[in-house]
Amino acid sequence: MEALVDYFTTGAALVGVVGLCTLFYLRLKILSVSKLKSKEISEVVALTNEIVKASTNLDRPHSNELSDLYSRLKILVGLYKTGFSRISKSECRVTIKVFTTINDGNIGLVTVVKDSYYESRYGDKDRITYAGDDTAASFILSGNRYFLQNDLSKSTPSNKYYAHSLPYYSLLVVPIPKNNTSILSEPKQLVGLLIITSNKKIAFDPQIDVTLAERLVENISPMLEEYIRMRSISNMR
Amino acid sequence: MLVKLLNWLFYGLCMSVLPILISWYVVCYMNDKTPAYNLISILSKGELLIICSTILGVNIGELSTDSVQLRWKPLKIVLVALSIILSLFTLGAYVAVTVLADKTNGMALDSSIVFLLATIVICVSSIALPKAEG
Repeated sequence: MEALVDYFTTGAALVGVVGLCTLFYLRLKILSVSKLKSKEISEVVALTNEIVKASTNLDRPHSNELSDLYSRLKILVGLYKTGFSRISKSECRVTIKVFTTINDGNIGLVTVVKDSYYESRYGDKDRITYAGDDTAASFILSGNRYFLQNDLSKSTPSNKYYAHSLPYYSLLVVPIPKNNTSILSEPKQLVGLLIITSNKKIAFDPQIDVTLAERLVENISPMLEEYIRMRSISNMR
Repeated sequence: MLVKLLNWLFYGLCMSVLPILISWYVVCYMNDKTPAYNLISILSKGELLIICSTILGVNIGELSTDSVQLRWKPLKIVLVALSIILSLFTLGAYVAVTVLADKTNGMALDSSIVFLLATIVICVSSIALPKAEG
């Protein structure tokens, strides 16, 4: 019996050591994740506030100020090609909805929308709701009605992802044809959805053309990076 | 997480161990034996092991019902497995210590402390595991 007690006690000590290793591993991982998260979230919050403010305050969405803002957007991302199936709700940080004109696929405008799924769920009507494409469309319509009147409200293949992923912030990537005046007559199409995860990877809808996704990342990343850099310079001043 | 940890330390651990501590204090006060001797006599029937077993049971239950973030799921499985293994060891040790209860020696005390420490480590790890949001 004494040997049995010794045996069990040794076992418990081993379990304790493994538990201790787990705790250290957990602590290291949590520290790195939370550091990343806070930086990422603050960037996205800054972008969101700036863009939403600019979008709602301006009489004309095509004004130079807004265009400058959009053109400086950038986000630091890598490309993650496995689709959404492996991404949990909590990992989603930013969603990029990708639209393209049927004709030329020109990507010109990036809009950041604060996702308010939870707010809308709890009945806060003052916030922008973004539970699905229709409400996203209504925001776009109020903020940039000139751009998107006849798309977004249609049901799209990406709808189903909202039910599962519910990101906190969204980037709407919207095309601007070279000639802005003709935008209303240009048919546009939602071609997919990108999700930037908490580890700064982009996962894209498997339905998105890989080339397009890569091109998007190439296009958006420098813009957002420049925007963040400009913001930090202006904050220092 | 800190609030949860403090909550667990107070309500989960301190409250569970409090009867033993009070009993130890009273026994020390009542007789003139050394505190170590009194502690051995109190723990000789494996009371601390029962407490460990209870704490681990609660921990397994909470880990099973709480949803953790996807990236931490493997770690959650590891912690559940460690908790179950430790529970089984505790069970075995309790049986053995009970049989040995008449032979008062330091064995029950030593093993109880090891089990308690292991339980604390496992439970703190479980509390530190990031839970899913929303």
